Amino acid sequence: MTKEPAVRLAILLLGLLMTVFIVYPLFKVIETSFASTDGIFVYQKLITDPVLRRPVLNSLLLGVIVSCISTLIGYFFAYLVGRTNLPGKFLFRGMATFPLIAPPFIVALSAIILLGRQGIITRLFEWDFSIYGFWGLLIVQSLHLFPLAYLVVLGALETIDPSIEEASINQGATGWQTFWYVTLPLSFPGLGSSMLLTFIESLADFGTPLILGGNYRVLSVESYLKIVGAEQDLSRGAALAILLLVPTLTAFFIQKFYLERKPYATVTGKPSTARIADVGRFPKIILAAIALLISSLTILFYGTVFYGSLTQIWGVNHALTLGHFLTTFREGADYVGNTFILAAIATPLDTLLGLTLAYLFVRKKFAGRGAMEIISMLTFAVPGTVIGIGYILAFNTKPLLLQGTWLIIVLLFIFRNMPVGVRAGIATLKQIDKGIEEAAHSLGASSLQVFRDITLPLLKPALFSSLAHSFIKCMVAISAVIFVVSGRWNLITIAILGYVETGELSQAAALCVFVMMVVSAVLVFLRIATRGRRREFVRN
Amino acid sequence: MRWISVSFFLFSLLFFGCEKRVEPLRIYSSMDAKETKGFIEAFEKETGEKVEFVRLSTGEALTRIQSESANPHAAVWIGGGSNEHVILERAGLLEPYQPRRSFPPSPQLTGRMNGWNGWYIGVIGFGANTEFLKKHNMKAPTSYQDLLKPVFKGKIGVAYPYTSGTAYTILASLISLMGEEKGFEFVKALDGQIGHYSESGSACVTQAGLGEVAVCIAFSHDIRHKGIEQGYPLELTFPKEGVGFEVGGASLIKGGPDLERGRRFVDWLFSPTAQNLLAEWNQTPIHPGVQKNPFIVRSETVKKIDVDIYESVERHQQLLARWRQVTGK
Repeated sequence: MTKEPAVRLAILLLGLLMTVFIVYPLFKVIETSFASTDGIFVYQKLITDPVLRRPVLNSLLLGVIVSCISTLIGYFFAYLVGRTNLPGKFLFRGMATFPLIAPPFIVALSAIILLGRQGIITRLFEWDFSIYGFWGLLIVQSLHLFPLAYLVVLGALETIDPSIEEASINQGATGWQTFWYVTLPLSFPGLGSSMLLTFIESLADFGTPLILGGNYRVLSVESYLKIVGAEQDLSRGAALAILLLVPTLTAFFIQKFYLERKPYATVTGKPSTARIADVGRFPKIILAAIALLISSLTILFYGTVFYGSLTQIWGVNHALTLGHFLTTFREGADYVGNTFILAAIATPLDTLLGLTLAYLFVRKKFAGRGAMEIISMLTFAVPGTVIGIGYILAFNTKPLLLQGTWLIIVLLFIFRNMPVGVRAGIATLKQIDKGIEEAAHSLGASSLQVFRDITLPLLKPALFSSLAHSFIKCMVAISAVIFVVSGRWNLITIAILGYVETGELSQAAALCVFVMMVVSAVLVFLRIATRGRRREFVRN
Repeated sequence: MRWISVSFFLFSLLFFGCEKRVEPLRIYSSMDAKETKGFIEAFEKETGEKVEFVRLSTGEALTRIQSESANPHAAVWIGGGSNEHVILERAGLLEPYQPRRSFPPSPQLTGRMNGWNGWYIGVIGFGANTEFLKKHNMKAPTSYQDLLKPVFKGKIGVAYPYTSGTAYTILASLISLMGEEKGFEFVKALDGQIGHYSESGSACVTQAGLGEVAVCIAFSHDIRHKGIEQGYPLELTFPKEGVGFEVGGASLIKGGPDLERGRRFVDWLFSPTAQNLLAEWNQTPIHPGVQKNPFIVRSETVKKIDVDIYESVERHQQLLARWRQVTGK
């Protein structure tokens, strides 16, 4: 246990916050799950129910494959951006964050327009192919989640000191060998975090399977529908959602087990004058080709959304119009403004909390550290609907009467998105040698000073990942907030979903495009604001 | 980074601190957001009251009202089928009320314990993609048997009855019409024609509009409003054997804030203004004075199947279990 009062206070405070805003709502959900007629046997009944075996297997299969594919693609992009001097790589940087910005269900719609039974591509090639089911989910989720992988991996890659790679090259290793034996193993923490996060997101996503699932039933949808569908079985739905925690926690332990055993620190504080090595022409061409391919897919899918927003009736009447944008500016400004304010409040707090936790988890030893690390992942792992219900149940009575206020939306944003900050922070911190901080300590700096003046600046790559992801998620969140929004706060995605429900697809697309423009502008701002001067810092 | 967070905080404090306003009446609506806005604006204009709403699907509204019951945050819930209102009524979460109105209430459209009041009717219909019909040189289906034609194999869209109130209304009315045995025989045959089921009741309207399926079975107001009026090539028809219908409910939430104003709002829903507005949104009003509107689905053109609402709720689990067994879905 650490002796410093500031650290102790921070741990106590964060522990208290997490207990109130993560454990307590989840406890309420578990309590609800026992309220069915099966009582405490509800879990046993669910596990042995043959009807559910299919969705469980489906979810796991999809989650594993999506997590592999999106991490692979994310890694390609991160490597290209973080480790090569390819001209025009800033374009790929944009390409790789772009898909996060749009609410996933709008991409699902564009998948139908392109690849549905009457889809443009389907008819063009006369394919006998059904987008409804496994393949559709795989494509849309991978495309939607690879940016998350990219952000997490990039944070980790940018932290690897290039002098290590330089040393490898100088000793006669080829570029490929350097990558295979040096860069890749050193990026394992980032890869692990990324696979964990994308796996969880795929498992918890219900927006895409709701539109594209067809007959491929997954657990998140089963749980969502048990609760809000015609069955109206709140307790079994809650129980199902709690079951989703099992694969998540398993994945978490696997990842932890593999990564905790080796040291990954390369940023040691010793002078490093190395520049990023040139990877050579051939690998660069291959990388660029893959990135181009994925980028064109992204452009195709999101271009369809853009094009759709300019047509009279998306998918039917392709006469061009600006009418939907005029409506968006007239009606949508309110939604964008409202959401923007809440997101702007939640994002910095979320990131600060996430990175502080990451710092404590990696650098400090204290009782209950493991438990806290697990708890920090929990809100991310269950479908948003369930967290939303947990928040109602927990914060609708005194003394914590928050329901109906803006604060509950912000808190939900913060605690739902915090795990990304935590994971990105952990992945980055693992690569920074403790020695730098210890040196500062031995020169008499307090933990707070070290964290503020040394760790935080070193964490800049993770800072951007976390800020960007958190902001985007706040702007496009839906499932959790639907239960806590009040009429006072109009959130964008709820408006977009409303348009989708009434069949006004072009209008929905226009609002999406507008949101994407706003978010892109903020991302550029964040990128500039967090642009690291880390290299100079290390050098000095 | 610090200055950013600090300035955002100050900004937000400023933003929230300065505001002092009259508390509006809070309602939940399961009707379309625009439609709800239309009603609220008309009400505000007529009475000078302020109303704030949250749009929630029927299931979300039910879940939210149940979860909030310790301390409700809305006074009124409008829209949503009678089945869900019955569930809340039984759970004792609704405040009984008989709205003031100029015409006698029909017992079929009112909760047994006066917990909810039906203020409009929605009727099931078929929406056929006209381009598909043109291509196959055929007429839109006008009977349940038409749906079994080979040309529609894999081309019919409808929702799962255990996820969607619309689809359950369809199932319950088929059983009422044909009897349980024949009804499920038809369900089995129809299952062979379905491309894939959707989760939400009106999703198949867009699917039919885009040509992903040829025919959707959904509420006629959804087919009109979300399909035809959006410009999708759809034709609305009704099965001649008879159609199921829903009763659109309005309920006061027990313990909700400002129930007195809530009562006035519910009264207003039965006024000619509100009832006339309903017709513009393709729903069937129940006020006898507004039946002349051209949009209304009239009893001369459509035969309604009478389904006992309370029985339909009671048989819910049993019918769904059998449906899952028959279709294997």
